[in-house]
Amino acid sequence: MFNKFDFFTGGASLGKIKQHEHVAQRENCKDSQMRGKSILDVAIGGKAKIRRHFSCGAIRQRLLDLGFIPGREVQVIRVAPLGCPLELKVAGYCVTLRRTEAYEIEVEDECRK
Amino acid sequence: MSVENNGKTKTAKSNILIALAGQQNAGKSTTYNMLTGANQHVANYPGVTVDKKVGSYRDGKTRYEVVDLPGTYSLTSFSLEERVSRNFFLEEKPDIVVNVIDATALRRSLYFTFQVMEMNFPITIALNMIDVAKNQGLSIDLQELRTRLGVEVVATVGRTGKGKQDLKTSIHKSANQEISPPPVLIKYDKLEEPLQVLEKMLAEDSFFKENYPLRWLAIKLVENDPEVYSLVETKHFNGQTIIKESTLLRARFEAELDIDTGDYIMACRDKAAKEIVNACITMKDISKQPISERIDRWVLNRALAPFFLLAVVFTIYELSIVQGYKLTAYTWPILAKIRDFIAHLLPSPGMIEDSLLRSMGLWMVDSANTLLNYVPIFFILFALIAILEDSGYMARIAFILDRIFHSFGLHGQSTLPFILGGVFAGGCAVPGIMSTKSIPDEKSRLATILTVPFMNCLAKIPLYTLLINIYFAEHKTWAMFFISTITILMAMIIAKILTSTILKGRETAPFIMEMPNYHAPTLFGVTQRSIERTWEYIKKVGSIVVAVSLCVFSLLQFPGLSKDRMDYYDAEMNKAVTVFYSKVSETSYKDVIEPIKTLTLLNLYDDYKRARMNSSGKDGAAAVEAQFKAKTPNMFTLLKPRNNKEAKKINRALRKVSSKRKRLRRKIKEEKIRNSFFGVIGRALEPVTQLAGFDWKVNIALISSFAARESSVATMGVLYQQGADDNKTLEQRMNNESESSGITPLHALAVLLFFALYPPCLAATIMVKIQTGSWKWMVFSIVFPTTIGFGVASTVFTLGNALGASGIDMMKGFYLTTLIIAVFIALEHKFSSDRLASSSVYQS
Repeated sequence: MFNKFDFFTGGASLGKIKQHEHVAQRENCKDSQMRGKSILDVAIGGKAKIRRHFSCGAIRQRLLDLGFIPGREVQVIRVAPLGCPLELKVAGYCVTLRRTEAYEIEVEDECRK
Repeated sequence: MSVENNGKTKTAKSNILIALAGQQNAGKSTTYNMLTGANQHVANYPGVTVDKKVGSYRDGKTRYEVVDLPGTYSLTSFSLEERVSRNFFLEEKPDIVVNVIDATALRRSLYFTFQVMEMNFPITIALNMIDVAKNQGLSIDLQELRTRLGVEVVATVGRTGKGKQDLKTSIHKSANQEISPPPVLIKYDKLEEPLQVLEKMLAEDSFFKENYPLRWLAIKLVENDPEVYSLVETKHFNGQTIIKESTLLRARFEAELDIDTGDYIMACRDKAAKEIVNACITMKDISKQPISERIDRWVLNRALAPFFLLAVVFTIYELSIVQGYKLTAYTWPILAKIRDFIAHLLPSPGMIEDSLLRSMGLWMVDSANTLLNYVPIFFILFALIAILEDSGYMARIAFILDRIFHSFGLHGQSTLPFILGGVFAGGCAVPGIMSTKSIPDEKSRLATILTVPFMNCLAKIPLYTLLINIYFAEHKTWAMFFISTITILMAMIIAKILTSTILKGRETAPFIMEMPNYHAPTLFGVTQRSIERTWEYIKKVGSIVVAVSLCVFSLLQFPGLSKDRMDYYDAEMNKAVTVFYSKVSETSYKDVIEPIKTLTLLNLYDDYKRARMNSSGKDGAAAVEAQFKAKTPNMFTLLKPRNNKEAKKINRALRKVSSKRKRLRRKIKEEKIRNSFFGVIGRALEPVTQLAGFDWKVNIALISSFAARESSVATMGVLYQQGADDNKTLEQRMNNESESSGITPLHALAVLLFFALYPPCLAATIMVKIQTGSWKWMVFSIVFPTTIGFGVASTVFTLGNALGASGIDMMKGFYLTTLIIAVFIALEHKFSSDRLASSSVYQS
């Protein structure tokens, strides 16, 4: 599969490393052990429904303000040339996020095949 | 604004305070301009560097003062802008809030509106960009919106000024309470009960009851807002209990429903907003994609985006630096005329030394002119930047490059400051630092401010080319490539160092940015903004630079020469004058010249020569000749002797005595500099700077270049002047000298590196002060680069000497080392962020 984040290395994805523990390292956040997929798992052009946020503080607030409200649908529009900020479409307008922020948005399962 | 002004007694007021609030990209500034016209001024909010725009307009007898608040998405205490807006609401208590809303994003914008309503302010909504909404097939039922929200709603198009009168009318209406205050809009269903409890507790303190919107405070308490916590804790007599209670209520609520209160509140607001939007907006189905998305499919295409970006950057360079520089060919003569005019007002020049008033006056005019010379370039630059900002491409540049910049602790929006500062060659740190204002992340903003001066500004180029031409003549292209790319590498590495040490604790913000739609920029908006910024440059920098150039002047001028030396030079000059007289007395002009003082003749001769030099073409020359002929009919033949043999002879003698005078003046200048305070400092520093191979001449040149970069070459010109009269160029002269004193390319490399990393010039450091709002950072911006620059220069020099490597070898070695460090930092960041981000990647 073509990894949307790594333009140059093609399929040699670094994403194979599975580690859930370090989520808990993030300060101030609540129990985030049980997580499913994040926006990062949605293919370019794909859509998904937001389930909840794992971010906290200012980032969470800003995401909510911009319309990333649980239950809303987001679409991944594109990824920047070097693979980092993503452009997402939510509630009719486009918002850019870094991967570190995007991966803290959990989405529902059904959108990926 | 005092407390009494709030609330009840509005009818009789003659001065009404309007707060203009809204989200970013909603067209707040255009609405602001629409309301206030030209009547406005910019200031800073006390203690922070956020701009405060204040303007006013009159409507009937009432004066309306409009304050443009920074664009915010909500009123929490997370970011600086939000805190500023919120404090303005709480402390200044505006009489009315004009909420500018992007009609195409009504639902989201309503969250903000609800929050302002909860704070109990009368609101008028300016539904902006109504034309864009129409094009997207949205039709909005204004009447329905009005009744649903219970406030005035006016449709406007800020860019064209449509709806201006309606907006003013409804501001008038709601300011005079002609419409009833809006009812409580949002019910926070399951949170209502705790909110009521907290509200009741807060109301116990009568001070709170009168001065603060209680329901809003209660909501904020449940939302866990630290600023409101401390407000209640310190100001309310029963603060501790309330805090305890709110924490308890919050915890119970969250346990019961398994949801964050903040999310819950947001969801309630969203529900309310959804109902309103559903009731007011009907959407025609337009199947074609919005134009912005169609453009972005090409412009932000993963493979094509870098090329578009390069093309844009290239165009900016070409139009502003190259073409703008050509424009200065037209503006420079104007500045030269002004200089001439002032020179005439000042006391006329002395034989070998000018009066203090004259030399000081000219020095100041020259310093100002150096800066004013850039005005055409800046004007074009600012206009292009305004176009980029208005069109929406700026946000896309940040999007494309964020990854690279983020690796080094910077932000995607650092791109623009670096471009302006002159990424490769030819820019200026001043507009670069000015443009850091829009970076939302304070940590990156400071890092950008501190690293932009490393870029290659226009004024650094002359010294680079000079040194490269002399010492790296065989490797000119490589040396130029080296210097233009090493600076960006060094700036990145230094930014990384800064952000991971001194700036570590600074507030940082994520790269969460709304991608604006493309808009066609308006001519009016672009011109207005570029004039505004250019004027800001002239005003802020001009005044201070002139003041400080005075200090530099005194440091270069005093204590001056001893009487013996002056007498010696006087005698030299007298000798030359005597020779001249003896020549004159052989001719028939004896009687014409004797009565006039030689000094007047010499000055006349210099004036004539300068006028001829500044004139262009045949017509210009003829005009100058006619002018001088009219002014001094009997002298003119001596200035331009056509076929008159005797006049020719005198002219030759005159030329000789004039050049002798120039030579003596230059010698005096050199001796003065050598003896001046700067000279003393330069020589005192020699033992230290020897580590980097600088002698006192280089020291002085580098020190004096602090005032303005250009002066480095000018000072060197004065210092290396043997042979100036044999029409040798500065390069040849320095070359001669370097052969005799053993200066090698290695020395030159050390100077180049030091100059590249050297502190920003005076104008730029002042800009640092303005943009950071602190003298400490300004001092830091001088001390830190000096240390780094000197460290690098002396390391390279000492190492090169120890290894016996040549200049070009050290250049290669240094470049490779920097490159490796930079790549290492970038890769390290990539892997660590990949690990972080990919940890959640779903594995099936």
